[in-house]
Amino acid sequence: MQQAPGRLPKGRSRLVWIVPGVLVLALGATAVWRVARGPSSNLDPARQRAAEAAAARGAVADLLAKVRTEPDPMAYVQARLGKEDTTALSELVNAYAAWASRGDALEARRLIVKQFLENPNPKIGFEALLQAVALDPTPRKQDPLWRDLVEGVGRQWNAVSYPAGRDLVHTANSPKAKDLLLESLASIPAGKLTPDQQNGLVTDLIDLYPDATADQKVALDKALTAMAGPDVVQIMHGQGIKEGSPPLAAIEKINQEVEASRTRYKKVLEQIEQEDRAAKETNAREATKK
Amino acid sequence: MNLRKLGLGAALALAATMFASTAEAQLKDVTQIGPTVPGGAINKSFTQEIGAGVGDIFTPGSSLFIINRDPARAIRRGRQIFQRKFTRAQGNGPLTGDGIGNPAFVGGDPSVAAGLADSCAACHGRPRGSAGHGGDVVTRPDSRDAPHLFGLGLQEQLADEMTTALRSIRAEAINQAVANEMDVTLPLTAKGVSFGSITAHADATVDTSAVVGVDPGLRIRPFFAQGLTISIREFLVGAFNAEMGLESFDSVLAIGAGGGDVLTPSGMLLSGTIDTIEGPTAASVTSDGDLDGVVNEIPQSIVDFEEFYLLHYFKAGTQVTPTNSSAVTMGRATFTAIGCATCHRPTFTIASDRRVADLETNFSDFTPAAPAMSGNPFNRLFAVGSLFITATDDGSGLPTLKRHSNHSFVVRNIFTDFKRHDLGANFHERNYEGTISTLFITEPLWGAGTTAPYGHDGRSDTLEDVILRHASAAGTTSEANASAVAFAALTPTAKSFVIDFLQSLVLFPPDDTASNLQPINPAAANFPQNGHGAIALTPLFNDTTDLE
Repeated sequence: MQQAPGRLPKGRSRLVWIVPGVLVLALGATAVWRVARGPSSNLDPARQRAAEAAAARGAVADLLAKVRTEPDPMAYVQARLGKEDTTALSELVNAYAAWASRGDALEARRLIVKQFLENPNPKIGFEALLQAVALDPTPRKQDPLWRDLVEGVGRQWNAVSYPAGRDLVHTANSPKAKDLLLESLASIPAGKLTPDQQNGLVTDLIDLYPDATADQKVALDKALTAMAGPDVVQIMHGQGIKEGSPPLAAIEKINQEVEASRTRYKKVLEQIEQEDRAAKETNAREATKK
Repeated sequence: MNLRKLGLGAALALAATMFASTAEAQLKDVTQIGPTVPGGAINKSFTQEIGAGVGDIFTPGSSLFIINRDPARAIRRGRQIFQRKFTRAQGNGPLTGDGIGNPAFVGGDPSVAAGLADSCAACHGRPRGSAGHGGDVVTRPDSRDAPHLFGLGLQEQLADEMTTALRSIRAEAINQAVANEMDVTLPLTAKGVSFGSITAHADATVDTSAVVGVDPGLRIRPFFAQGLTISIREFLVGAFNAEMGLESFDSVLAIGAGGGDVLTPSGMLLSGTIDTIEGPTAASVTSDGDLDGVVNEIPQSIVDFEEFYLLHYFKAGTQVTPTNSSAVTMGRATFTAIGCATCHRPTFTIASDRRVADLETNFSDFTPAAPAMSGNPFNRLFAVGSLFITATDDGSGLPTLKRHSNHSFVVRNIFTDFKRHDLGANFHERNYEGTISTLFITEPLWGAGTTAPYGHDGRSDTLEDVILRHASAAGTTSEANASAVAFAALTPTAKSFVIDFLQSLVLFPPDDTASNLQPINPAAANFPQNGHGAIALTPLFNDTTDLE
């Protein structure tokens, strides 16, 4: 049966009244409850925020749980090799994190890292890698792929990509991604950067030094020594700068330069004094002659 | 944001322009003092600078139109207003409540008799033509030095984002306490800086007794030595009045001070519902609080341009030359090793930068043979500008909307932690009524190489003096004592490294600093008085022939 224009079926026409009625009742009840409860507190928004945060965490956990039991990780990865769409990338990101505790997935995860680093769009691949690392709950020191990650990312840095990396180490939100960026930057061979970039990296490594862990400091020391010399590392270790401590090579050098400059200055002064004396004597002789 | 109130403000500001136009003949600009050399005078009268008032993005000549469609012009206009010498006829002086023209004066305002400036640049004027340092506004018996304003917008944004982060932690603590029906204590950390901890109770109340370095409300206030003011807008409206006797009815601040939430044209959210916002300095566009016969002395569009200008004000530069390079590196390392960087933290990240441009200024030797990337003979610096603009054609037939691109930004060489500290008696400050201020926000060190004398009061002549001043004294404890003692124990050479490093953090005169917007031109007539290069915004205007 065709419905006349502008008319609703009988069942729906009843709904038209029932639904708003229920809504009005519900709103009324809520209002009465709020009035009865007294002045509003921040308990409700607090509960709501807690629920939203829990829901978001749950959604990520669901995604990871789905892929965690994948029977053949290598086949899963290979099926997505070369695919550049966001779905494939995000599946690989999740897989990388979900398989963190699966020893049998190590090679598949290594392949995921390779896939990210070889993405034709380096920015997209890099972001995916950092996302995967951030999602992986394995502590850095226990991560069997950590060295691969540091070396792989470190190989990406050159005079062109370095400025982005220099900022990323600060902008990355995940501590693990930050660590990866820091250690990879510390592994750049000095020759791959311009002199200005080397100075910038030295500056950054000095600034980041206090927050680095003991094992990271070893890597930073190596990089600082290579780019700025051993004195800077000694200073960062609090050596050689206090009164009475053995002087650093740089301080010795500067002191020698100051001493040499003083000697030169002394000679110049002596020369001036000598010339001055000679001039006075000449003047005196001339005056006597006159 | 309360758009209706903002609209009302716009209408009031439009009305304001009518009053201000009467002052045109008194302005010091090219219409009054010409002929003059290029750059020697402001190209627009004050009335022209006020333009079409606040308006909207469809009203040509209004502040909202220019800020949104011609941002480089908005910045440049703000700069010219900053440099403008205001006249008596424009309302310059007397100070509100200074006893002249206001018989109702009662004491208590530290700006009383602090001296009258006729220009923002009177106190913030070194190096030449910059929003730098140099003034001594005697608002305290032992003096109070005017700090430079380089990087002001970055400071505002960082403090605001840190506040949001701290308040999120507070909200999370409350969430957890409510959900688990037990006390929850969380560390308060924002951008790597610890502000102590906060404890939430199951009834959603909080205990802030372990909060350090910031008010219990967790609002970081980056401006003024004691950490007093939240935003550039409040700061500048207050300074126009307190230092120059120029009153402003700013409807944006009126909304915030009235307990509403409002977004300034530069994108700063003033949450009157949460924070105490400083109000405008005039009750309305027709009120004459200082009884000088001039009303609406600083119309709201002028406040808009000033805020936008200071939001974008250049961060300080670095002067690392081949001669001082290794000493600067050693000095930075020493500075870090002795703990100075614990509070003077070098680097922060802004998650969403509201600026449309940034400028990186570094040493570049004066080499006339390669003018495009050469510093000039005045300061051997070269600035490289980057734009962060997303241009949108809104189909209105007007110039595109040019808005910031919501980028993240790494702020380097700032050296602060945005926390209030007690540095002991050496830094304590006497107020006129006899009370002592003991807490001061960590001074950002960028620009330290060119801003002597030092300390909030300018009582330390040299960098070495002010570093040693951080030590505990007179039975009081300084939070920085360990670093000051460590500095004192350094060898003379190691000390000199630290000083070399600090001296590499420099301010610069924008009109005399070569840049990729205007490199040096050694072939110019009268070089280097002309052709020495500048950080010029004019090439970025929609109409480059219409000069500011």
